Amino acid sequence: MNGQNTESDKERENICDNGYIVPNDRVNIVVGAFGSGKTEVSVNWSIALSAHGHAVRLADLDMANPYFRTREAQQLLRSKGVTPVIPSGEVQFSDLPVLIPQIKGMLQHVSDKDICIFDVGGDEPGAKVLASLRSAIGDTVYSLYQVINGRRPFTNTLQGCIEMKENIERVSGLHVTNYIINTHLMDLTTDSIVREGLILGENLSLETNIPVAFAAVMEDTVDVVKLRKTSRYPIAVMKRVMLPPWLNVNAAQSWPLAVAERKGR
Amino acid sequence: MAKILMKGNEAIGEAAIKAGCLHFFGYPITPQNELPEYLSKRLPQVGGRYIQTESEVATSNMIFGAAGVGVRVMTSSSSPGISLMSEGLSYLAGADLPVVIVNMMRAGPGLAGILPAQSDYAHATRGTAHGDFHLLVLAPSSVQEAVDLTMLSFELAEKYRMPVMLLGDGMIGQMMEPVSFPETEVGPPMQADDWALTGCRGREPRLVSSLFLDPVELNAKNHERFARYAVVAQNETRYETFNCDEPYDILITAFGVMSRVCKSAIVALKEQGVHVGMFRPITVQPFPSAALSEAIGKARRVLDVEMNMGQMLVDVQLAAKGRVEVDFLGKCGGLTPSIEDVVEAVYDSLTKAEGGG
Repeated sequence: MNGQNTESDKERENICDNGYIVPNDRVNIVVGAFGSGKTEVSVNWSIALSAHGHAVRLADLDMANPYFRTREAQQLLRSKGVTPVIPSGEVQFSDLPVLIPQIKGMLQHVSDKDICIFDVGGDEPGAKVLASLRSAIGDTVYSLYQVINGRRPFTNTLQGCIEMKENIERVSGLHVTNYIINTHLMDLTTDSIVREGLILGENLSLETNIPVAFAAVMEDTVDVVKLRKTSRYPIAVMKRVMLPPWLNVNAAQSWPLAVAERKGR
Repeated sequence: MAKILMKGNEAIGEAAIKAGCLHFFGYPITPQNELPEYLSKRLPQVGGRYIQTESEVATSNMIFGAAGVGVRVMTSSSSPGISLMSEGLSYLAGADLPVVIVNMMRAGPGLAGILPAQSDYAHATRGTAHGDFHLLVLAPSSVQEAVDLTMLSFELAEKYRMPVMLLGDGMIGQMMEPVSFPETEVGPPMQADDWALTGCRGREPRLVSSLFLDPVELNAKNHERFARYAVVAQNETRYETFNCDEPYDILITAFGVMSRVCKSAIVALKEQGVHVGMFRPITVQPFPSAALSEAIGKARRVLDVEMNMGQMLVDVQLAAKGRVEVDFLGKCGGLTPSIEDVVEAVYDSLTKAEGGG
């Protein structure tokens, strides 16, 4: 893409099982407002692409916010065949601007078979890291995806989304090439909230002449089959990865019993 | 108003505006930065003032000044930053000034870590600073509750003329949950006509100060203040109980987000036929001792769970009055006891209650 790539329309038809597009470009940068869902989208997208047979590297470029970052999903990513690119050691728990050398390598020497996704921090402060990577990006063809949740403050209007886009473009020196629609209200998400997000995305796309890549929805929150029948955009289904400790019940059903047995009760 | 998805930090900022707070002074620190960040965008839109201070020491004096002239004001920080404000907090209490202070706790002591912890319970409820005073301290466990308690904080601060602290942790600040707000765009201004420094033309000059050199006057002042604290304790203690309507063997005590892990554990245990209740103080100062004491009276043993080394534990032990033992489960440094940790600790407490420990 990047405004110059038109031979790829066919490739854009290329959709993974659970609705994710296979990107045209090898360098895919995910930006957006704080809390727009960049990490959930990046992690789920990476896993979908890996399951689709691609070699995927996911770089955590979030330096603005120390919580709910890609690095918290690194075990899951590895188990799904995705290579997480994150700082190692105790510095990964910090809010320091640590940019590891592998990042530049990913931007400059990307093999044709490799898909790289860069999960960037929120708002303009988060996007600033891209300015420091501009020389590394050079004339590499990239796609820059702006994730939009229309139920978040500051991006709940068309004007707000455009301002966010312009601010991110201004500090990063890059241009948004696609939108990813991710309007939701967590477990209170309804079909109509998702539809409201699709309309916002459509208006934004018309207003700015930038295409929507896909819309992401969390599994079990909406009727995906119904949504896909009416949506003009691919609907990608996500599993919630960033869980607070009270929802982390992967094995909860068997826990009390297992503990009871261990305790000889 | 339609529900919107917000981080706790942002939601507290918006709640302050809805409560009519148009003045914020603060210095950046993780994990509460989204709060000043949000207000730096929002306050100018509603005619308010946002100032990034040069330090937390300056912050605490600036909120003193703002409150002293009868302006509704808030600041926020995280553990080490709150420590820096300590002297100012004592001055605020000594001058009976209504301000709201948000502490999004991180792991301590020292510079320590930026992940969530409940490491400042003792600091907030007992050892805030020098001198005889209390803060009124509210501890939310969800983003919506953080909104509701922020608005309540201003109300109570002004009603009782005392600094109120909203005690959250990095988790409350950083996580996103759907929230709703009252329709009002900006709440009405603070009513402080009878004490604030509003210009003395046509009336006697006033003084807002914590300096009382006359020992008789200072003694009287402190007694008056503690009489007010007694009224606060009488009228404003708040708590939540969970699964306490049926008989229970173990009573869990927890505050803030820790209580949500405990609730998940209690639900899981219930399926195994283990009966556990939970008591969650919402005001941690004043502490709901009488209600907790009553709840403890129905338990065979108590399990206190915190994201620290056992700070609320002292208050729980006092409420137990030696009738039953109080066990403790704690993790710190940015770690949170998991559902499984709590389940396991409940089984340990049960074993001890049956004389096996």
